[in-house]
Amino acid sequence: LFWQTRSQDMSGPVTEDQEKLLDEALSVVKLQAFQMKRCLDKAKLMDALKHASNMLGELRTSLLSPKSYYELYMLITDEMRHLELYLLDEFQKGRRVQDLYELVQYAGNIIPRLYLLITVGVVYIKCSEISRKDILKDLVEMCRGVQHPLRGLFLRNYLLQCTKNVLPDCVEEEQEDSGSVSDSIDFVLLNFSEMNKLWVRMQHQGHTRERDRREQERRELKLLVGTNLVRLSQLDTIDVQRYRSVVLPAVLEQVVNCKDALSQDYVMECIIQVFPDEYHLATLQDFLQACAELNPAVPVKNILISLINRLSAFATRDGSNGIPSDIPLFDFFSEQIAKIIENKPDLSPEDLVSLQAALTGLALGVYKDREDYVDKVLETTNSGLDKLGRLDSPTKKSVSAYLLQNMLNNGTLVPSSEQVEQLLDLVRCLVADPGADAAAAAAAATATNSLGGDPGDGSANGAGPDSEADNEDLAEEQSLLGRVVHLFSTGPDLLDEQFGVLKTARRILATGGGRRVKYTLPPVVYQAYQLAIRFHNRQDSDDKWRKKCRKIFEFCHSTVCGLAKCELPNLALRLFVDGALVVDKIPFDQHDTVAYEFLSQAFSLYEEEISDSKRMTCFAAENHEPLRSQTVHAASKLLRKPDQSRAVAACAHLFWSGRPRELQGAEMRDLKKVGECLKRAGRLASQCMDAGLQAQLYTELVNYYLYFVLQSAGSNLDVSQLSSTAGQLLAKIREILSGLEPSADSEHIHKHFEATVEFARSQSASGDATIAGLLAQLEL
Amino acid sequence: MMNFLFGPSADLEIHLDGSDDRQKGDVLLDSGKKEACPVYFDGEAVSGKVNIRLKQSKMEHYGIRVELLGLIEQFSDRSSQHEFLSMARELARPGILTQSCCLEFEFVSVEKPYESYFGVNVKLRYFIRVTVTKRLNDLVKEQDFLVHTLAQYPDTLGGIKMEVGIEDCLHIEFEYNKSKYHLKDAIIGKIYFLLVRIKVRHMEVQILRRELVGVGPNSMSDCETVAKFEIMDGAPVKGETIPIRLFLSGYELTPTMRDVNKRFSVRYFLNLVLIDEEDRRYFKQQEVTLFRRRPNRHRRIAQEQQHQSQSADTAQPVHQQPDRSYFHHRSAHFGAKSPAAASGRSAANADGANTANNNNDNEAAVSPGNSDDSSSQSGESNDQ
Repeated sequence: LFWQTRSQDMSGPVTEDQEKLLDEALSVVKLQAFQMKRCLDKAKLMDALKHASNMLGELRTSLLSPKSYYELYMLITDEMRHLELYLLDEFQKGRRVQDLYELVQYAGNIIPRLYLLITVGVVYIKCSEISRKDILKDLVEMCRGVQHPLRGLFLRNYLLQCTKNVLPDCVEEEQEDSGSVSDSIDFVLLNFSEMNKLWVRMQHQGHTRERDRREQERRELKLLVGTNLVRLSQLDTIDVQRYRSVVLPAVLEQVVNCKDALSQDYVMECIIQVFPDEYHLATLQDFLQACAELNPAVPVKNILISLINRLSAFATRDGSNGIPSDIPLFDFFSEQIAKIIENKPDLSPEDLVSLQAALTGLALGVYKDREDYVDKVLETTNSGLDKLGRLDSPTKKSVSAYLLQNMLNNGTLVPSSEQVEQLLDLVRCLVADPGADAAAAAAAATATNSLGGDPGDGSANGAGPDSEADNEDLAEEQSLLGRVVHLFSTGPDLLDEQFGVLKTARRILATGGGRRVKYTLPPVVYQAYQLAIRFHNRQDSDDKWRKKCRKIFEFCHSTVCGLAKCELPNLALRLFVDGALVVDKIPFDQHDTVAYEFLSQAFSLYEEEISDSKRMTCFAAENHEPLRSQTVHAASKLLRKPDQSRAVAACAHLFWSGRPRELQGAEMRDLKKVGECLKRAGRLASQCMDAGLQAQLYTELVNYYLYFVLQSAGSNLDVSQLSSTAGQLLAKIREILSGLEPSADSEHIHKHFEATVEFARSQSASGDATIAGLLAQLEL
Repeated sequence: MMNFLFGPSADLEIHLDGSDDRQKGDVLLDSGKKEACPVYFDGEAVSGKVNIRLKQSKMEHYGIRVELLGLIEQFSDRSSQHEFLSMARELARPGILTQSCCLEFEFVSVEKPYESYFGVNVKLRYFIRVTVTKRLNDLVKEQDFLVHTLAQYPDTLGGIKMEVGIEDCLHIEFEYNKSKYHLKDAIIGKIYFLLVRIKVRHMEVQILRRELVGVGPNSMSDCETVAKFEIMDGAPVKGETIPIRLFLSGYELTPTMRDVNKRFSVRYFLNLVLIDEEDRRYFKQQEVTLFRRRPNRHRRIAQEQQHQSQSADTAQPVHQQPDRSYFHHRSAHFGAKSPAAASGRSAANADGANTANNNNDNEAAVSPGNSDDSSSQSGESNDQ
């Protein structure tokens, strides 16, 4: 006696379009389901069963992806409910179909047979609980016949769904025949371990190149396995005692033995989520023991963190009694975490830190009065992080960078020298790395040598961009470190301590070498400047502030000198100049000499190292004669004539708006010197070969002249000399412009010139008579 | 009119006593049709009536005779019918019948040593034949009936357990709970996988019926797959145990018959077949004895008659297998057969030979099987 089933290719590769295959299967299902229901309406049970079997036969396919198979499964099980309801109805009316349980087992194919058997078995149970225990046992055993992972998983899921409300849930004494909760436990546990095995086995199916896809599919199916645990958690008679002695050991045994990372990860998480917190508390040791035995690829820390967080939440929840005092929760976890760290030398530092963070959370949440716990965690973390010494350099760096970033994000202040020292020690891979520097230098040297010699040498050619990338990384790390320096703060009141902090920071950071101090020391210096200002602001409460400021500037001076020696003249120059500006504002004893020292350092640097005239403007606010002449001197020594011209012209401002102390803050307005400067600039401009450039420079000069003429309006200074020179310049410009060939540059110069003339006109038109008179000399 | 002139002068009708109450079974007639006939057991009396309905006012005859016959027919050779049982009774002396009449007959304690059988090349049938001898054409009427042979074996008899394999490829251990099954029994067993290196796609248990007719060079054998029952889907791994539960009452089976009247035998085999992903088949056949279990109400009677009537029956079942039929053949091998090479020896005794005569596989027949079992079983899984 055979039941007809549509013949299926059970092994074909998945080549055809899933959608098409699914549609075909679904339409067969709909047709068979329709006929099944029609037969049920006519009370032709046997025919209905035949159609049900045909419908279920669609689940024999190997062609569908898990997703499509799920869809098919859902439709079919939905239709199966009609059959179940019909049978229930018939049975309740007393029309028991003889031997139905045996009858459905005549089906030749195992998949339809077992689906039918489950359906009928559950109907039997629902009608009479007498044989419930045996039927459940029989069903779960018979399902062993389906060893195909996907089909087996869904079949067993069907078993689990159908038996949802019929599992015995009473203790042994009450019901002898119909089974007790221990039968339910056996039932679900067996189903669970079989499903887990199938799920694990799924990864070995098919070609290795589709491994990733299979992993994805497995992830999609995990809920099927987890449902078993959910079902267990719904059994009310499973008390803590039973959970500890029967349920958990079996689940853990299966999980540990399956050795599969994905399964272990999911099931452990699932255990945590589905069972009550009290149960976890009672079985902590077993659970944690199992965690230690998992596949090394399992992120145990996630499991632990999840558990710790859950228990922390439990303990602090309203209405909970907290963690029972007889359970040394904290000790358990800290021991286990220590063990895990010990057993897993390859545990990443991030994992280590996040584990400890969760533990801290527990200590803070549950044991509010036990500060020593937090201390303990921090201590363990520290010793754990010490092991970072064993890490390779990129990891170390990323950990350190993570740490620093975290500090920045949280604005964590580092309030003492000791802590600065500790912190910098922790991230010392960022602070200094002399070995690596030497290696990099050597590599660079090799690269340079071989670049010319052997173009075929790939490694040498690759060295360039590599080191560039390294430099970028370095810049990024060091800027981070530099930003953190700003967190070295003792607070608003402890200024002396702050100075100590800065000294410590410099001492350590200075070991970093030229490539690093570029980023790290300037913040220290600026911090120091700021500190000096703060001392100054608090001069009332600290009578030694002058001395202290001096000390600070000495400190800054030596720091910046250090930077200068590291071939960072630009930086040092800027720091000196900025320092001089700060000094200028703080009137401690001999601050003028300090400022002079700063600026002279700047000049010497400038002379020695700098060829970029753009720095010139820095000096515009100076107030010492030698400096001014030095500046002019320096300006005239610039390499290129146009730069010389512009610089010297800019120097004119020094003699105009400078505020030497002798004049009590008034501008000096040394018209003679200004005129000299401008004239000198004009001379320099005239030496330019390029006519266009010359015109440009002249135009700019005219602007200077105009400025000074306008500035001196209303004073008793005689600016007629200036005006006439400007007039001559204008004539020269016109002459040059007329001979200039049209181009983008000359166009630009033209415009600039026109604008200048226009401005002068507008001034003469609107201004008072003096200005107009003066401007008239411009021969507009 | 034509009937009146040339048709039979009377209608004969044989009615077996109690045939309405008796269990019925199908008899395969020569025409190919099936007819439900009453079932008799060994030693039972066969009695009944012959109704003679005259179509003419009178009928002259040279005697009316009733016979009970047991016949073995080989289809290959229609002439060689063998009567292994023949009994006769005179119902009426020569004379003239003037009206329709009813004549009773009875064969007491008929020894019916063999089971009725309708096979591929042979059939064994029992029937009552009534002959009205006439001057020209005798009036003859036959009525078939079925004979079921009953047997009883203790349930405690050992099962079949065996380890088979292909070296370094596949090692399994299988177990059937018994070696002798009654026809309403369930085969309970399990397969234990010791080593799996091939990609098994599925596994099935087949029931093979092997019919051997004749002896020596003229013998004919036929093998038919009576049942195909998938017991596993997908590839197991080492250590898996797969359950087997196969209810026999769903299939058209007969008891095992060995050397029936030295003319034919019918034997049954359980064939465990594994099919791998390349469609190669691995199989292992194991003979099982099927028997018809004595229904409860019949047991007492049977015990009384055991000594005389069951001698033929019991001689067969005991002699074949060692009493604790435990096989533990490390060396036992699966036969391996690829579908392409389905020829030669293996084709003759495996399922290759049955394609022509066995279309059962795709037949949709959902009736709960023969309705001849009055002893109902419980609705549950009847592991016994």
